[in-house]
Amino acid sequence: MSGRTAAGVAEKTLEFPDVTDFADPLLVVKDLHTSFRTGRGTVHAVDGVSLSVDRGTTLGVVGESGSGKTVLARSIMGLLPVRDVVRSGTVEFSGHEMTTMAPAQLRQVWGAQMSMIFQDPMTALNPVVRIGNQITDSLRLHLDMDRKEANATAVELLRSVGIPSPEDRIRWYPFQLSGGMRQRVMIAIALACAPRLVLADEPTTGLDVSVQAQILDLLQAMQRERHMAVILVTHDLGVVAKRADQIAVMYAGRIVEKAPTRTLFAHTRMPYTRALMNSIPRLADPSGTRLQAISGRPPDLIHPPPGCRFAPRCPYVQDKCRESDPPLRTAASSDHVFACWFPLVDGAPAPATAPSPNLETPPS
Amino acid sequence: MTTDTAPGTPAPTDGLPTSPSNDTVLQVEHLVVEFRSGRQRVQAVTDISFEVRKGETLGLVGESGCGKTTTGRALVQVQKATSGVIRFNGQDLTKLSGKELRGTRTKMQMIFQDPISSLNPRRRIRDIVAEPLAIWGIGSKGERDAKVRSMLESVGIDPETAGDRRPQEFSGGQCQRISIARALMAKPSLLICDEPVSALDVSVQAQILNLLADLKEEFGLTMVFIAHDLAVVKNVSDRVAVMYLGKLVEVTGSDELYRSPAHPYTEALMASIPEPDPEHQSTHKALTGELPSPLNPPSGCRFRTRCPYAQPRCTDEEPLLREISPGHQVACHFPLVKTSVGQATAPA
Repeated sequence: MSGRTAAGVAEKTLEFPDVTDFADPLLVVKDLHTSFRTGRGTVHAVDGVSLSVDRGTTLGVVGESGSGKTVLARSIMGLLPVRDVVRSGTVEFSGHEMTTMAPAQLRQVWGAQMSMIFQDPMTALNPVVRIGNQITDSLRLHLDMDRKEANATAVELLRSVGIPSPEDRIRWYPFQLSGGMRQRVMIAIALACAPRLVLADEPTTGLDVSVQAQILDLLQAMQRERHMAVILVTHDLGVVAKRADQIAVMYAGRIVEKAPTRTLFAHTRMPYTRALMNSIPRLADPSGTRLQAISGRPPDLIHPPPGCRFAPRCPYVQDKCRESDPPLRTAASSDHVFACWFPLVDGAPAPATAPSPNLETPPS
Repeated sequence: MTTDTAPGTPAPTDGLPTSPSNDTVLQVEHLVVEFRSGRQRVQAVTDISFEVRKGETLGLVGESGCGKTTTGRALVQVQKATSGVIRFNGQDLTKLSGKELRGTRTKMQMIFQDPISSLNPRRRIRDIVAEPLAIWGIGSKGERDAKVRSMLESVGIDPETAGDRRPQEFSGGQCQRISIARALMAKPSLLICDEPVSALDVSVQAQILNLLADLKEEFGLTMVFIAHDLAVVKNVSDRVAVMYLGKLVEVTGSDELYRSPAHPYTEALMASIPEPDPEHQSTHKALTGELPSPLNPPSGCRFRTRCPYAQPRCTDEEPLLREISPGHQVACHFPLVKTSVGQATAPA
């Protein structure tokens, strides 16, 4: 294991010079498609996604289960099954095209330049390896540290993610830690080699709200300290409201609205984004306030509906929505895009569009 | 345990409801649940008392490991209480024999956190939902089929297409709907919901919470709703009981709890809720650290190790649950006071 350093592989070593010019985006994804061939047909999990992430910033990717947000994160990273998967489009990371990289080159990127925090720390951590060794693996591989140096760094990393008495804990196994502690270990592993981009896929789903707040604060502090970019994938707009610089809302494999966070909340154009916001119970509402649920379910990605994919669940649906697919277009500010024929104005439907009976609770 | 209180503070009510009224469906007194951990004993629930009135929803909120699920399981006697009294419609469940206890099962039902694993994967939806009727021999086959159909419709599942399918063919939200249908088949009067929405997306969560509100109305249910997210609990509950490390720390009406949280832990739970609003500024102090081990709970107030306002007295003396205003109980020596802007702050 120790001899397999990044430079030791046959492929040419990728250069990631320290960039001082922060004008260029770190990650540029163009027209990314990922589909899976299954027995029932081809599932278009990611269907034409374009986005970019600047250095040191946070992009929130929000959507329901099955919206393709996890597959998007994995497609960016190149962590996809080998069989029965078709990926097209480009993923340019720090000047390197990821989609055409050989496996050996990808290994130079993974962990060192780009890393991932997975949803379930119990299954993402190796249950039979001490947590210290899980951290030192990547340190020794990418940074060429010796055992002693790597151990010392692992202790510091565990300390920095808020694990008490890290000198003892590096010898612990994952099952000896609580869910929140395991997620801290996952973060320590992801940050070990100081990557430029961290993809956090639902890092706090399954944790208590109090632990969730702690983990998200930790991630944010580490990000500032190390000037990392973060893609934070979640189903809860509340999680990204105060932590993301920009937010992309995904529905049925596509981005349906993308804007800087404040713009997205203040000038929501896409009814789906508004519906996601409204479905969250608010502490300030009186007890018993009826939630504005989104009726129905996301569409089948083997046979997506014609026209707008949100049309079958949209409270403001019109005939045109069922017939033709709305393209992404620019709102008042150029960094705000949305895909809707009848966008909301100031959070309410445009005057000409009356709500249809599709709405479970009419907006007040 | 210390029983003294400082002069001038209201007398402790010892955690008991001040006046158990006739419409009390469930009354819990001094409930203790212990588990063995090697040679040690660990108290998951330490001397808690509360009541649930007819037609109300009581929310039980706290972090993982605070004993809220154990309390829920003790209420239906899936978990034996070590000591204490659980009175359901006047009958002490802890004293009942197995046969007598079985007789109460139709009246109290439970739904669980993981909707997929709480349904038998090898059985058809129709049979899963009909099971309670089959067990109790209620109705003829035709009557049962009709009841299953109408109940599935009530929870928003199409009985024609879903009846012959198996749980794996459904999403988490749909499985939770099926679990709810099964729980309501025997016409219970009390429904215990143990984290029914925490495994679900926010959009599906809203659907299930609305469904529970509708069914409560339709079937006249009394509910105990257990969850870790105070925003969810507040939305569905009439009253909320906040639990920390096996003890109740605050019990009050849900709107009162939001307006003037009196326990620092309640305030911390509020601060950790992710508000979907980038302009929102929480004035509450956030929670730090982890839950202490229940094997060796801190002396005095159990929350003092994480409390931003802890004083020497909190280490020495355990605060008892006492009433600070009508219907508002708190276990804290220095409860937060409400200021004119409606935000809770520390006492001077």
